[in-house]
Amino acid sequence: MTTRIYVPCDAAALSVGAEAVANAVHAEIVSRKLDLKLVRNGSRGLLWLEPLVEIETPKGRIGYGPVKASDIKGIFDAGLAAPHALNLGLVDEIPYLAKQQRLTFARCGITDPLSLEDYEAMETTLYLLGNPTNAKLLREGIAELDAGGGVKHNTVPVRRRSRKQ
Amino acid sequence: MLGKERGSKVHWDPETAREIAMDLKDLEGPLLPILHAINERFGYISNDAIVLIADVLNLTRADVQGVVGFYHDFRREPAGRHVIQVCRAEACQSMGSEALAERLERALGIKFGETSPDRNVTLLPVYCLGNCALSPSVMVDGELHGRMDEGKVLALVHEERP
Repeated sequence: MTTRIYVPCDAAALSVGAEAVANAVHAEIVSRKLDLKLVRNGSRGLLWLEPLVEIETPKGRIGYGPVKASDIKGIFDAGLAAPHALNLGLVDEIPYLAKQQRLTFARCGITDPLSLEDYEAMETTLYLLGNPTNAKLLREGIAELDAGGGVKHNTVPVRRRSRKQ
Repeated sequence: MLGKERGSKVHWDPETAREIAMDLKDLEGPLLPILHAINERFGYISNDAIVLIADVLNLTRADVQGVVGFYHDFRREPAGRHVIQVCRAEACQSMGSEALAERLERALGIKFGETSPDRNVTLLPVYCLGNCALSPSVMVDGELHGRMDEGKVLALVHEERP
């Protein structure tokens, strides 16, 4: 699956050079022929770390910040999510963010604000995780799958029921 | 919202100006939209423009002049090729924007509200760009820049020099 790399496009991040950073990331993806998708998200709100670049990993998003366009080559050279002077570790675990409970800004920084698909995926996830029992079961299921407990099935196309019924 | 604040605009042309005013005059509250359009097209609101707008809207010149004078974004003379707006509100002040403002005045040889003699730069104050966490903030030609210092600001207005 294509891994996503995030560079914010909100006014604050842009005011400190996020556009040049995004261009540099794009150039590295192209020249190294990487299976990476550059996503322009909103800011996670950690403005002192902007431009904050995040890379998706199985454990969560690893952040780099504050990043300059000239840092990008070095970050790619070191290997994404590998140790680097600007590597902040898991962004969700940065104390300022970890202790927040977000409501109106729940999606900000997580999704591409112009992607309906992102919006709907997040909506569903938030709903499913909104119930503690459900969230526990889901997380156990995901852990089981990650631990190799999955069974592969061939998908059978499901015919939708007609609306007239 | 602040648009691109570029200096060099189309030369004054009464026919174009009248067309702009006639196009917008039937709006509800047509004066501000007309002033914005004229300011955007010609870079400033000249005395000729005030006379013309007063005529089209059947207002007194004093009425139009009063509105123009009330809003800082309506210019009464052309701006320089670049417009630097330094935030001088509280958060930026706490991060050294007053010292930055003084250094810019000295480097450019002009005071706030003035345009450099070579017409390259107009220096203006602005009171909060909403980018407080990345103070000091400066808007250059309608584009927001955070964590600014004198060198970065000057680089932004000199980079396009031939």
